[in-house]
Amino acid sequence: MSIEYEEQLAGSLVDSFPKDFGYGVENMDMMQENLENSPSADNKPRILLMGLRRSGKSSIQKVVFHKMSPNETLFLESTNKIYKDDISGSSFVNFHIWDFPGQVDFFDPTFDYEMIFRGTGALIFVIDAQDDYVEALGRLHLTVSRAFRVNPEINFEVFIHKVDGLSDDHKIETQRDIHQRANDDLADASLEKLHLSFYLTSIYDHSIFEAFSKVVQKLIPQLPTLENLLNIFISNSGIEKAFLFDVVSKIYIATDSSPVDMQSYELCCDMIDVVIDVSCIYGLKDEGNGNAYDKESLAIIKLNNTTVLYLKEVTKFLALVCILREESFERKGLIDYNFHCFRKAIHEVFEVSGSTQRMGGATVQSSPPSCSGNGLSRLKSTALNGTPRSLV
Amino acid sequence: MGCCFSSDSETTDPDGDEVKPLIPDPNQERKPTNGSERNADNLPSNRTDEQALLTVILQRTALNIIDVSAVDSQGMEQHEYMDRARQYSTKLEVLSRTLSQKKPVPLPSLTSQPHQVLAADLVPHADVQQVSKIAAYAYSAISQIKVDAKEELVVQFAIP
Repeated sequence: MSIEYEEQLAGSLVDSFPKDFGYGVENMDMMQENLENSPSADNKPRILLMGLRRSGKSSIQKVVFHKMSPNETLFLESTNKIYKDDISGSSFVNFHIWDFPGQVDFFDPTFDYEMIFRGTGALIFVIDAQDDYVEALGRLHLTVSRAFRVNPEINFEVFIHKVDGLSDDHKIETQRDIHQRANDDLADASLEKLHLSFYLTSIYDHSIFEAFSKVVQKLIPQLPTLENLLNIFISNSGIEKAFLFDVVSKIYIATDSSPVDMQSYELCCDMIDVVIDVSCIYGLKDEGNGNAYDKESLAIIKLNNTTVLYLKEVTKFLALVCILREESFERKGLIDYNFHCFRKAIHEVFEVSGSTQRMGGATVQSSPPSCSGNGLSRLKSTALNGTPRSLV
Repeated sequence: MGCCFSSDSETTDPDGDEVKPLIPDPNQERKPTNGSERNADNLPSNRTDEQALLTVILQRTALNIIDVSAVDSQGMEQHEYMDRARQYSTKLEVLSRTLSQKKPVPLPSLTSQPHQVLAADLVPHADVQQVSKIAAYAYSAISQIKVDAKEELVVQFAIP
């Protein structure tokens, strides 16, 4: 068994060698792609997924943005080329996600890392917590130090990944150790101004969505306004907790100022899965066109502990999921009116940002969700895969 | 405001607005004013405008949203309740007396006093026709009810 595995690994290395180090061809391909994508790429910030081989970068990208079941990621092949995913058509998250092969060599003179880092909003470095992470830490230091010199505005995020198999004590110890070593390396290199954020993640629970939500929120300039609107809404409506969700990826782009507990977040994620699945079964029109999720989407789930989950559509890609007590929900009419005011305000916020962007405001990073045929079909295909995951 | 006043001291406001972009003279004392205005045209101005607009949206939303918890506290005093009840009853009595004149005459009852039935006026022919027409419509609608069989909503998932 181990011998067979080694053979496969060797084969994989041999197969990927020409593509990785095809100097002329690879460089030409990248240059052409850059020229072709330059108009759109300039407008959308980039999130880079980097890390060693087999650290889980592609699995994260598939599970979060393409609704792949975590178990299916076991069959993903190694990424041998920079995989660019433009998810802005099917998701509110209006970014490019770039999945980097783990064997990219920054010292290769044909690798134009300056071009890549200059337009990057966030760099996510994935570390396999179940593996020996000394090499990963070395690569992390090299990557972030080089990126920081090119673009100090990048948000540097470290996912301590594959923690599902670790005990709680081991998780804490691993995070502390990685945190200490990484920051020591930065201090030795006089890069104290470079700040790293650390997250414990796994694709087998909701922690990967939670971590990605935090990364995305840092890139949304309207976040303070959204949070204030949510605070106004829930404090006047008797609601205990509310999340503003991107329906496709289950990333929450904003929440009120009360603390987030993972159990509530998981409940809301599961509710979105249920709503999308039921809508796909019963909600599609006879012609089959259209989306399972539209402006009439609404769901009320009453739990047996007198808690009510209330979901309502806000925009084409966003939904508000609220958690409130059953006695508070008796005033549903007033809550609906307050939601109407909230929804109108959200649309106005994005209109303001959109108009400022049209006025040449280059700092606006997020624009209202665009309505396109590809986006519609993609959302439909994505929603059809909204099957609840079966945890091992 | 200070800029406006300094403009007024020399020329009128519209004239000042016209002159400034045309002749940005560095020798005059208004050089910092021109600089600040140039800065206003830059990014911070866009950000300030956007921030102001977002603040307006927040304030308007806070104003429009109704505080749910405040609804319960709007109770009425007992005496006010009784006063309103009497007021509404009085109005209803007045209306009922007015409306009674227009109330249509019900059909006579056949269970007692047949002499009154025989002495009453005949039911208008138009009413008889209307009732017949309504009955025909109802019969037609009922006869058109069909069961359109489709695939079963509940099916057994079978592993092939």
